[in-house]
Amino acid sequence: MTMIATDKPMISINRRRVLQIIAAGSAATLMDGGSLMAKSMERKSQGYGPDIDMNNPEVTWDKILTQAQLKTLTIVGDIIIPADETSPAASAFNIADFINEWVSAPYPTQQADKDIIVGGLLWLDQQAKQQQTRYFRNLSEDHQATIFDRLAQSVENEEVEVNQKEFFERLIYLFVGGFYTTPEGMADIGYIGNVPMAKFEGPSAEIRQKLGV
Amino acid sequence: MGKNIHEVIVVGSGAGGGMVAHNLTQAGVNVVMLEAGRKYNPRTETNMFGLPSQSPLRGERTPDKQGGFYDATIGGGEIPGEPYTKGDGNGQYWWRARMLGGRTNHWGRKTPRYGPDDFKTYTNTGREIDWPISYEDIAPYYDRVDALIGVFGANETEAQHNAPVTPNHIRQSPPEPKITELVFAKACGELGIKTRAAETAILTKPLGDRAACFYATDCSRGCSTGAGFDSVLGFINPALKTGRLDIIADAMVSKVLMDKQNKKAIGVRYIDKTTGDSKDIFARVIILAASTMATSRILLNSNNKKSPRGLANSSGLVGKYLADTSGAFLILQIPALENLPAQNEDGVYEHHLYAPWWLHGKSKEKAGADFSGGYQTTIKNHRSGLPTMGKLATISSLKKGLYGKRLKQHMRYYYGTTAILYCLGAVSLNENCKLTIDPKVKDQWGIPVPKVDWTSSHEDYQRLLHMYESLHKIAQQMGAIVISDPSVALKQAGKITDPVGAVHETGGCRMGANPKTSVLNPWSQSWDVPNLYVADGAPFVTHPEKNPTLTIMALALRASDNIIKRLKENSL
Repeated sequence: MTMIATDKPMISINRRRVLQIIAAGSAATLMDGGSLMAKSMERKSQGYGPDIDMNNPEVTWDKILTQAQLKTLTIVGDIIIPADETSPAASAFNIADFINEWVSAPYPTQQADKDIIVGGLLWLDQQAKQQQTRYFRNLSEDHQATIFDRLAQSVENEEVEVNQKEFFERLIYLFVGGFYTTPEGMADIGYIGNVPMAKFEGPSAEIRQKLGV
Repeated sequence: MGKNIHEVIVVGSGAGGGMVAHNLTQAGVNVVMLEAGRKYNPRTETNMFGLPSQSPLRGERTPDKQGGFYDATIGGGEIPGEPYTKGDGNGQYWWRARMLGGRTNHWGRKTPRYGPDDFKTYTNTGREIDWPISYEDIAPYYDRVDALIGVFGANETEAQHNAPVTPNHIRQSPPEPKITELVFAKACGELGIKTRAAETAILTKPLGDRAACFYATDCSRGCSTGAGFDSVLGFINPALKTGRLDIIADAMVSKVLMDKQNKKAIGVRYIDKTTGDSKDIFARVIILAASTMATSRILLNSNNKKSPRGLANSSGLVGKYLADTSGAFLILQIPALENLPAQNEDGVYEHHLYAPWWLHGKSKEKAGADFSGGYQTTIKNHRSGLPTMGKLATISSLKKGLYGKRLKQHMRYYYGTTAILYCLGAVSLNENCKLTIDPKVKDQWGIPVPKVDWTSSHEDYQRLLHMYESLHKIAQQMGAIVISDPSVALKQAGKITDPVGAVHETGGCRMGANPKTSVLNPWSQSWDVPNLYVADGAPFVTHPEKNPTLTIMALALRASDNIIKRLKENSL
């Protein structure tokens, strides 16, 4: 097997910085985090192990996000992947629930993402405070979009704290990765493989001509 | 004593172990096969069509499944309870498949032949050393293996200097190239680089009870139809049908047992992993095909009073001169592929077409290449195979700060236009890549573990730089935009700082014409212990740019022919 990384994302993670962001949150916003800790004491956190029944894939760990965190994540998901004329929004396929599965997994990459996502959700609530509202999820859609757009703009212009940049990039990674690996998401971008065929014909004559090949 | 003495024990069930078991049992020899992992059936245990969204974490890699959820491998580079320690250098990633069929359950099925120059590097260039055999010696075995496992490849007319092909009467016809490969081939042609169908052990026509490929799904999941060759369906099941093969699974071999005079091997000791018990099993002939590094480990761990440095090691070369295919890659965005209708680029999963090393036989000056061996080059579109989170992230991260409807348009527009352009390269004979036994660390079975020193050479670094130069030339000729280029960090470091790449390790028990400078004779038979053979990647002398598995099988076939002959002559 070739171990060259053909599909690894080029995103780095700084766990300590994200933990700092959680520590910087107010007592009120830490309530979600507090309940997270309580739940994590009793949750099942075993991985699926090295030798699995491939034909019956199973998630072997409990999901840890609270309903409030999931609600915020769902709102953010539909800002990132809204419905358009080709496909529905992220919430149509419960991508926030997939991200809950992801951040709850007992593996190092996912554990690091848990810190980034949970910390980032707290950060969104901090932004909501500036609108005199306690939680991001209670803001008007316009206000939510404004906060998210400000974050995106600052990432685009590279005028952003590392913490927020990581939060934004991980959100995009997880929602894009979650959405476009569903059958409908794959159809949206034009993945038409994974179907058995008697012969592999290669590209059509028309396309060959267009490309000069 | 009443102990049961078998005819032949083979340790390992992968490409080499499966091959010898197949050949020996067909010839009427009884074989006991020991496998360190469990029994495994590719027909029933693979999930070829499972979607990412039907698996945990969208099927992404985890420490439990290091090749991704659906990857066939049980095991990987890190196995709990079975560590190895890192000595000097940039390290090596030791991939182990603990299952019947070993690594053939997930391999890329690429089967290029080593060429005439590859066996005679010293004679031709004054570098490295020669093998004790020539291409003419091994070619009949390549033919037999190709016919047995079923390969597609290029027409005979496309053979190149030091890049031979399977004879037309044996090979199957290759599938049409994928669209991105055609764009790559065109650019190569304009640069004077020849491309051809890639030699591959995947059936395009049925063979025995194995079906033809249906051009979908990832071969590393395993192949329940048998189209992609693996040792279980291709070698072991036919061997079982002869009634002359017994398999003991979950048997972790710790050492080879010797007679009192320390002249002949009498059997092996193994841990029955189901009970933890240590057991001995006896035979007239022992074949180690445990995988390159495991075979050296077993021999070094078989040391005794008369062979304190390890068994079959009078040369002191066991564990030395390890090698692994090197690799370089660029991630590209290819504007020529924008605005085309959707394409199915799955095909046989790995590439249909590639560029063999194009400077073989050229002088150093003409090649501009101050290193031995070369590299092969090919391309793979990210749309080939199911979308993964990593491939999708490559596309979404083309532009910073993107979200919303613009993000969705972006994904639609750029999907199918990104690709990995890559080389697999030779490595030079290197005394700084070796395996010894760690005096302090044992695995969970109480077996001392290997310590691996692996310092890639300056020549390997030079070859990597040459690869990147070529990759950039080809990318430019394709009109592609380079979006990720690891050579920037490589040049900054000024040397190779990571494991070299492909997990194609060879060497450690090299064959030779002289017992003082080799572990095995030209038949892969130990100089010191005549009834001990090696049939995996360990007998390799040098490591050219071609994937090694076909040569592992050809050498294993040749070794087992020698065993059959000697058993008949009663000379073992």
